Amino acid sequence: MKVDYLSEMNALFDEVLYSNHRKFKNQQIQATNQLKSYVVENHLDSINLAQSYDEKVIEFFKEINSGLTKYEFKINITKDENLFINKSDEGLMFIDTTNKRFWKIHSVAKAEVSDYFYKVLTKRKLFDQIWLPIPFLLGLPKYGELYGVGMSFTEELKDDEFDNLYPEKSHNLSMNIRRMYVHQLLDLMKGSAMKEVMGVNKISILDPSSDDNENYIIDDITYFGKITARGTSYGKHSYILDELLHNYEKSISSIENDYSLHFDNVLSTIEGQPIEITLNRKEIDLHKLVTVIFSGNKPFNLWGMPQWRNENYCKVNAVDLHNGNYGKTIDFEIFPNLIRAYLPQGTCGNSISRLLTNIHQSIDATATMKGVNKSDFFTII
Amino acid sequence: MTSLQSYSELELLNILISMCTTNKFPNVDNIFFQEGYRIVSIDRSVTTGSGSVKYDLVLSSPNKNLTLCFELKGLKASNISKEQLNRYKGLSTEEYIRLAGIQANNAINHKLQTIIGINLENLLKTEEYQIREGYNFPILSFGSQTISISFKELNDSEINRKLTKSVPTLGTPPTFIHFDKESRMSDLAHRAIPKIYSYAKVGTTMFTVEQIVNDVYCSVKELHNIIGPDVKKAVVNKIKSLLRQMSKEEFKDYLSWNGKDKCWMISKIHSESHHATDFAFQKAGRNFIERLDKEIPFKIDKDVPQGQLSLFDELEALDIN
Repeated sequence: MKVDYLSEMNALFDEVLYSNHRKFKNQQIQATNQLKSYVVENHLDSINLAQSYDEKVIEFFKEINSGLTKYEFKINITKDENLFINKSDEGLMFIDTTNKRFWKIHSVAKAEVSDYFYKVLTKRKLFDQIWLPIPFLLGLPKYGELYGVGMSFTEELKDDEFDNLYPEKSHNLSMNIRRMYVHQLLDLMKGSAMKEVMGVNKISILDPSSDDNENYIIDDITYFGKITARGTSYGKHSYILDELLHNYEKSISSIENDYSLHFDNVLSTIEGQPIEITLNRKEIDLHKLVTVIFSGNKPFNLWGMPQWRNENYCKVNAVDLHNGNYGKTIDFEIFPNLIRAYLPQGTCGNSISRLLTNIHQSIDATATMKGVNKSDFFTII
Repeated sequence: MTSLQSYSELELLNILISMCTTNKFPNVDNIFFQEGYRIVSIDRSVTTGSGSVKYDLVLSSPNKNLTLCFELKGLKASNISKEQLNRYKGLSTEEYIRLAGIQANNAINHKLQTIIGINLENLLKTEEYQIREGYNFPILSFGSQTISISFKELNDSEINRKLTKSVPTLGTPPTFIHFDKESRMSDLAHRAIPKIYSYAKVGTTMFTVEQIVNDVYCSVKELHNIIGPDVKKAVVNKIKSLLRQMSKEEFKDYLSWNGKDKCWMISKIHSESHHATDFAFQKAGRNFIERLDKEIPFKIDKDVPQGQLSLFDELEALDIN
């Protein structure tokens, strides 16, 4: 099926979803060509203003494709100005650029192909994945029914005596619960002494069929913006994806517009305010925390020279080494149980969602970021 | 600050600035902004008929036709000088607001008030001093949990009401301005080293002293525009000295002075430099700061034969502590 418009892409995915659904229903075989969607943040629109957007996108993908070693891709324009297709023998990547900052990329190629392309893309300067903190993930069942939850935690603050003996590249904690027991698990987690290390990394949502049709979707949504769909309705998947993006973009815009600091020369006053992340985990080794976050290593990618003012107060002027905000500096102050960030105007708000998300996944799953009105930031109301 | 420590002058200034922001900050209420005050100047000298007057912070409200001028005394507050207070006492409001460029629709009726800002523990001593010497300046005292006004009332009744009740403060105040005349070299190094690294990462291979001073001075970059030249000059001189020291030993492979273009050149680290190179740069930073903190002497510039000019001689004469 040839795709030239987003509407034709929608029809194609409906077809693929339904075919996979029938296959599973009739033969109990899970298809390998499941629909996968990725949300990618980019700042391509802000560079080389002399070029048209089409030209920028094509030039960018030509350059990316020329450097790929594992698969050969070729970028194609379509009759829809917002749709680009990167083609390879192993499958197609449908790039929906309707939202210039947050692209939606869809594929029914094998996961190893689409994941490879996504990883290459998000390693580029001016590109980043989205980062979904735990309150955001836990708010997503608003768009369906909670169907499953994934949890993992990579301990960064404590060392295990066996880590050096038997180096393993795996999480310290990893589990997946689906269907029954999901709510019980979440309740258990909230009251558990281990809640600080229960890093929710994935939420599955079921948007069920109504009585008179068999349209349904189950979306597995990861904290890094990959959404895998199973079911029969691309429309339902597309709706969930749209709402996810809408809520995320709203939070990022708020960080950039309401919190980033600048001096207003007309009013002669400072606008914005520092962002504060409260750590609720007990007995955090502050020196270890500062070393982990500001060493310049993954996942935090913040490079700084910590200045200890006293045992309970450290200042760091950190260079952000993550692609989306590469080379820009952010001032931080670290206290026991509090991280304060001064985001200069022009800094990408994704830096803050990345920091909070990575704290959730490896420092403290119960860390919170309060907004001006004292409500949890990144919650979906 | 801990309960056992006092605020420095720079910390007092940062607290007052956080009381002037458009949004209420987590640590303290933005009462000055709420009452229409705007920041006019920080540490800026104004030459008047009665001599040079330099307040640490000047706030003004055009609507209320009021100007509040703060003289801050951090830590021990033992450096209150009679000469300084006499100058404030004899200051002509009309002359000061004209020369300081303060917007006043009705200059004749404009009111200017000098306020002494101190740590709470020095309140009694400062009150006694004012009584003894015949001064009448309101005293704004900063405690670990509250800020309050005493001794004399403020001309602004609303601000006076709030500060008489005392304004609560919570935790360590935010830092907007990072340096003053008292700043140590290692304070500057903690911000200058990441900035040089940041330049390299965004593809900037050379920078001027002015550029790096503007970039590291404040968390809110444009704020440095309203800081007076005296204190800025002291910071500029310290940064010059710092860059020279850096380029002599720990950073000699990364930083060099270009006398022709009068700028500093960055080598080895760049946007694509290897993680190991970046790590080595970070290590050099740690060693350099340790040297500053432990006061380990720097090498004398041995490469310049006697009688010849060093490449640094083109830099302005240094005026550092």
